[in-house]
Amino acid sequence: MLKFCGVLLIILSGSGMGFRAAYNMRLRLEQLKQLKKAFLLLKGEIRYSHQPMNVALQTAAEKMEEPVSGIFRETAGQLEKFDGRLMYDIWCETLKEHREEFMLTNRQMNFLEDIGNTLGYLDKEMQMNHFDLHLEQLNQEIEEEEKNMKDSARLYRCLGVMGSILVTLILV
Amino acid sequence: MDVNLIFKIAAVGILVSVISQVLKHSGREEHAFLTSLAGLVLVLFWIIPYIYELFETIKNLFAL
Repeated sequence: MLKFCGVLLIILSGSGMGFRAAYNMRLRLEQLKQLKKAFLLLKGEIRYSHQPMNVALQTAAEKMEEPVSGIFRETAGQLEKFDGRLMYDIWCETLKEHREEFMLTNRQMNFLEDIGNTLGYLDKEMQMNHFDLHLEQLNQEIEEEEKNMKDSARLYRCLGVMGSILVTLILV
Repeated sequence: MDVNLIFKIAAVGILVSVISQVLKHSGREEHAFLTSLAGLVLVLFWIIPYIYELFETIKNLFAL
Protein backbone atom coordinates (compact mmCIF):
# COMPACT_ATOMS: atom_id res chain seq x y z
CA MET A 1 0.00 0.00 0.00
CA LEU A 2 2.82 2.34 0.99
CA LYS A 3 4.72 1.40 -2.16
CA PHE A 4 1.65 2.16 -4.25
CA CYS A 5 1.30 5.60 -2.62
CA GLY A 6 4.99 6.30 -3.25
CA VAL A 7 4.68 5.30 -6.91
CA LEU A 8 1.58 7.46 -7.30
CA LEU A 9 3.33 10.46 -5.73
CA ILE A 10 6.38 10.11 -7.98
CA ILE A 11 4.26 9.82 -11.12
CA LEU A 12 2.02 12.73 -10.12
CA SER A 13 4.94 15.01 -9.26
CA GLY A 14 6.90 14.14 -12.43
CA SER A 15 3.85 14.64 -14.64
CA GLY A 16 3.06 17.84 -12.74
CA MET A 17 6.54 19.16 -13.51
CA GLY A 18 6.13 18.41 -17.20
CA PHE A 19 2.68 19.97 -17.38
CA ARG A 20 3.87 23.01 -15.40
CA ALA A 21 6.77 23.57 -17.83
CA ALA A 22 4.33 23.43 -20.77
CA TYR A 23 1.93 25.77 -18.96
CA ASN A 24 4.77 28.26 -18.28
CA MET A 25 5.53 28.35 -22.01
CA ARG A 26 1.89 29.08 -22.80
CA LEU A 27 1.77 31.78 -20.10
CA ARG A 28 4.92 33.38 -21.51
CA LEU A 29 3.30 33.65 -24.92
CA GLU A 30 0.11 35.11 -23.44
CA GLN A 31 2.10 37.68 -21.48
CA LEU A 32 4.03 38.73 -24.58
CA LYS A 33 0.71 39.24 -26.40
CA GLN A 34 -0.62 41.23 -23.43
CA LEU A 35 2.48 43.43 -23.52
CA LYS A 36 1.98 44.04 -27.24
CA LYS A 37 -1.64 45.03 -26.62
CA ALA A 38 -0.57 47.27 -23.72
CA PHE A 39 2.02 49.13 -25.80
CA LEU A 40 -0.50 49.56 -28.62
CA LEU A 41 -2.92 51.11 -26.11
CA LEU A 42 -0.18 53.35 -24.72
CA LYS A 43 0.79 54.40 -28.23
CA GLY A 44 -2.85 55.28 -28.96
CA GLU A 45 -3.14 57.26 -25.74
CA ILE A 46 0.00 59.28 -26.49
CA ARG A 47 -0.91 59.88 -30.13
CA TYR A 48 -4.54 60.93 -29.71
CA SER A 49 -5.07 62.06 -26.10
CA HIS A 50 -1.92 64.22 -25.70
CA GLN A 51 -1.90 63.28 -22.02
CA PRO A 52 1.23 63.28 -19.85
CA MET A 53 2.95 59.91 -19.46
CA ASN A 54 1.54 59.13 -16.02
CA VAL A 55 -2.06 59.69 -17.18
CA ALA A 56 -1.48 57.68 -20.38
CA LEU A 57 -0.01 54.80 -18.34
CA GLN A 58 -2.91 54.90 -15.88
CA THR A 59 -5.50 54.87 -18.68
CA ALA A 60 -3.75 51.98 -20.44
CA ALA A 61 -3.52 50.09 -17.13
CA GLU A 62 -7.29 50.27 -16.66
CA LYS A 63 -7.84 48.43 -19.93
CA MET A 64 -5.29 45.71 -19.25
CA GLU A 65 -5.08 42.59 -17.05
CA GLU A 66 -2.50 41.63 -14.47
CA PRO A 67 0.48 41.55 -14.38
CA VAL A 68 0.88 44.18 -17.13
CA SER A 69 -1.71 46.53 -15.61
CA GLY A 70 0.15 46.29 -12.30
CA ILE A 71 3.45 47.56 -13.70
CA PHE A 72 1.75 50.36 -15.66
CA ARG A 73 -0.25 51.44 -12.62
CA GLU A 74 2.77 51.39 -10.33
CA THR A 75 4.93 53.31 -12.81
CA ALA A 76 2.17 55.91 -13.15
CA GLY A 77 1.97 56.15 -9.35
CA GLN A 78 5.74 56.64 -9.03
CA LEU A 79 5.72 59.30 -11.78
CA GLU A 80 3.01 61.24 -9.96
CA LYS A 81 5.35 61.67 -6.98
CA PHE A 82 7.54 64.03 -9.12
CA ASP A 83 10.63 63.19 -7.06
CA GLY A 84 13.04 63.88 -9.93
CA ARG A 85 13.85 60.27 -10.78
CA LEU A 86 14.33 59.23 -14.40
CA MET A 87 11.53 57.38 -16.20
CA TYR A 88 13.98 54.56 -16.99
CA ASP A 89 14.89 54.09 -13.31
CA ILE A 90 11.24 54.02 -12.21
CA TRP A 91 10.39 51.57 -15.02
CA CYS A 92 13.28 49.20 -14.20
CA GLU A 93 12.52 49.29 -10.48
CA THR A 94 8.86 48.44 -11.11
CA LEU A 95 9.84 45.58 -13.41
CA LYS A 96 12.27 44.19 -10.81
CA GLU A 97 9.54 44.27 -8.15
CA HIS A 98 7.10 42.41 -10.42
CA ARG A 99 9.69 40.00 -11.89
CA GLU A 100 8.12 36.97 -10.20
CA GLU A 101 4.77 37.55 -11.90
CA PHE A 102 6.28 37.36 -15.37
CA MET A 103 7.22 34.06 -17.02
CA LEU A 104 9.49 35.87 -19.51
CA THR A 105 13.10 34.89 -20.08
CA ASN A 106 15.95 37.15 -18.92
CA ARG A 107 16.54 38.29 -22.49
CA GLN A 108 12.87 39.30 -22.85
CA MET A 109 12.94 41.12 -19.49
CA ASN A 110 16.06 43.03 -20.61
CA PHE A 111 14.22 44.01 -23.79
CA LEU A 112 11.30 45.23 -21.66
CA GLU A 113 13.69 47.26 -19.49
CA ASP A 114 15.19 48.85 -22.62
CA ILE A 115 11.75 50.11 -23.62
CA GLY A 116 11.88 52.31 -20.49
CA ASN A 117 14.78 54.21 -22.09
CA THR A 118 12.52 55.56 -24.80
CA LEU A 119 9.32 56.21 -22.85
CA GLY A 120 8.61 59.91 -22.47
CA TYR A 121 11.76 60.73 -24.42
CA LEU A 122 11.92 63.61 -26.97
CA ASP A 123 8.81 64.58 -28.94
CA LYS A 124 5.65 62.75 -29.96
CA GLU A 125 6.97 61.79 -33.42
CA MET A 126 10.10 60.16 -31.98
CA GLN A 127 7.99 58.41 -29.38
CA MET A 128 5.74 56.96 -32.11
CA ASN A 129 8.78 55.77 -34.08
CA HIS A 130 10.19 54.07 -31.01
CA PHE A 131 6.87 52.42 -30.30
CA ASP A 132 6.79 51.08 -33.87
CA LEU A 133 10.28 49.66 -33.44
CA HIS A 134 9.46 48.02 -30.11
CA LEU A 135 6.19 46.60 -31.42
CA GLU A 136 8.06 45.11 -34.37
CA GLN A 137 10.52 43.47 -31.99
CA LEU A 138 7.67 42.23 -29.81
CA ASN A 139 6.04 40.68 -32.88
CA GLN A 140 9.26 38.80 -33.61
CA GLU A 141 9.45 37.57 -30.02
CA ILE A 142 5.85 36.38 -30.21
CA GLU A 143 6.50 34.53 -33.48
CA GLU A 144 9.58 32.86 -32.02
CA GLU A 145 7.73 31.89 -28.87
CA GLU A 146 4.81 30.44 -30.86
CA LYS A 147 7.24 28.29 -32.84
CA ASN A 148 9.01 27.16 -29.65
CA MET A 149 5.75 26.33 -27.95
CA LYS A 150 4.60 24.18 -30.84
CA ASP A 151 7.79 22.10 -30.61
CA SER A 152 8.38 22.01 -26.91
CA ALA A 153 5.08 22.01 -24.98
CA ARG A 154 4.06 18.50 -26.00
CA LEU A 155 7.64 17.31 -25.48
CA TYR A 156 7.73 18.59 -21.87
CA ARG A 157 4.38 16.97 -21.02
CA CYS A 158 5.45 13.66 -22.53
CA LEU A 159 8.87 13.74 -20.89
CA GLY A 160 7.30 14.55 -17.52
CA VAL A 161 5.04 11.52 -17.60
CA MET A 162 7.55 9.08 -19.13
CA GLY A 163 10.41 10.27 -16.96
CA SER A 164 8.41 9.80 -13.77
CA ILE A 165 7.37 6.28 -14.82
CA LEU A 166 11.02 5.47 -15.56
CA VAL A 167 12.10 6.76 -12.14
CA THR A 168 9.39 4.62 -10.54
CA LEU A 169 10.67 1.54 -12.36
CA ILE A 170 14.22 2.20 -11.24
CA LEU A 171 13.24 2.71 -7.60
CA VAL A 172 10.66 -0.09 -7.24
CA MET B 1 16.76 -14.37 -10.16
CA ASP B 2 13.39 -12.74 -10.02
CA VAL B 3 10.92 -12.91 -12.92
CA ASN B 4 10.06 -9.27 -12.13
CA LEU B 5 13.49 -8.28 -13.43
CA ILE B 6 12.49 -9.39 -16.92
CA PHE B 7 9.33 -7.28 -16.75
CA LYS B 8 11.33 -4.32 -15.46
CA ILE B 9 13.83 -4.62 -18.30
CA ALA B 10 10.99 -4.84 -20.82
CA ALA B 11 9.26 -1.76 -19.34
CA VAL B 12 12.51 0.23 -19.34
CA GLY B 13 13.14 -0.78 -22.95
CA ILE B 14 9.69 0.37 -24.05
CA LEU B 15 9.89 3.65 -22.15
CA VAL B 16 13.38 4.45 -23.38
CA SER B 17 12.40 3.79 -26.99
CA VAL B 18 9.29 5.99 -26.67
CA ILE B 19 11.27 8.83 -25.04
CA SER B 20 13.94 8.43 -27.70
CA GLN B 21 11.37 8.71 -30.51
CA VAL B 22 9.70 11.75 -28.94
CA LEU B 23 13.08 13.48 -28.57
CA LYS B 24 14.08 12.63 -32.15
CA HIS B 25 10.82 14.08 -33.48
CA SER B 26 11.49 17.28 -31.56
CA GLY B 27 14.89 17.61 -33.21
CA ARG B 28 16.88 16.74 -30.11
CA GLU B 29 18.85 13.81 -31.47
CA GLU B 30 21.74 14.10 -29.00
CA HIS B 31 19.31 13.90 -26.08
CA ALA B 32 17.66 10.86 -27.69
CA PHE B 33 21.04 9.17 -28.01
CA LEU B 34 21.92 9.97 -24.39
CA THR B 35 18.58 8.60 -23.20
CA SER B 36 19.14 5.32 -25.06
CA LEU B 37 22.64 5.12 -23.63
CA ALA B 38 21.35 5.77 -20.10
CA GLY B 39 18.71 3.05 -20.51
CA LEU B 40 21.36 0.61 -21.71
CA VAL B 41 23.67 1.42 -18.79
CA LEU B 42 20.80 0.98 -16.34
CA VAL B 43 19.83 -2.43 -17.69
CA LEU B 44 23.47 -3.56 -17.76
CA PHE B 45 23.75 -2.46 -14.15
CA TRP B 46 20.89 -4.83 -13.29
CA ILE B 47 22.14 -7.70 -15.46
CA ILE B 48 25.89 -7.77 -14.76
CA PRO B 49 25.66 -9.48 -11.32
CA TYR B 50 23.73 -12.36 -12.90
CA ILE B 51 26.22 -12.65 -15.78
CA TYR B 52 29.03 -12.75 -13.25
CA GLU B 53 27.15 -15.46 -11.33
CA LEU B 54 26.72 -17.40 -14.57
CA PHE B 55 30.46 -17.35 -15.31
CA GLU B 56 31.24 -18.38 -11.73
CA THR B 57 28.82 -21.32 -11.99
CA ILE B 58 30.38 -22.44 -15.28
CA LYS B 59 33.85 -22.17 -13.75
CA ASN B 60 32.80 -24.24 -10.76
CA LEU B 61 31.00 -26.75 -12.94
CA PHE B 62 34.04 -27.46 -15.09
CA ALA B 63 36.42 -27.03 -12.17
CA LEU B 64 38.40 -24.42 -14.06
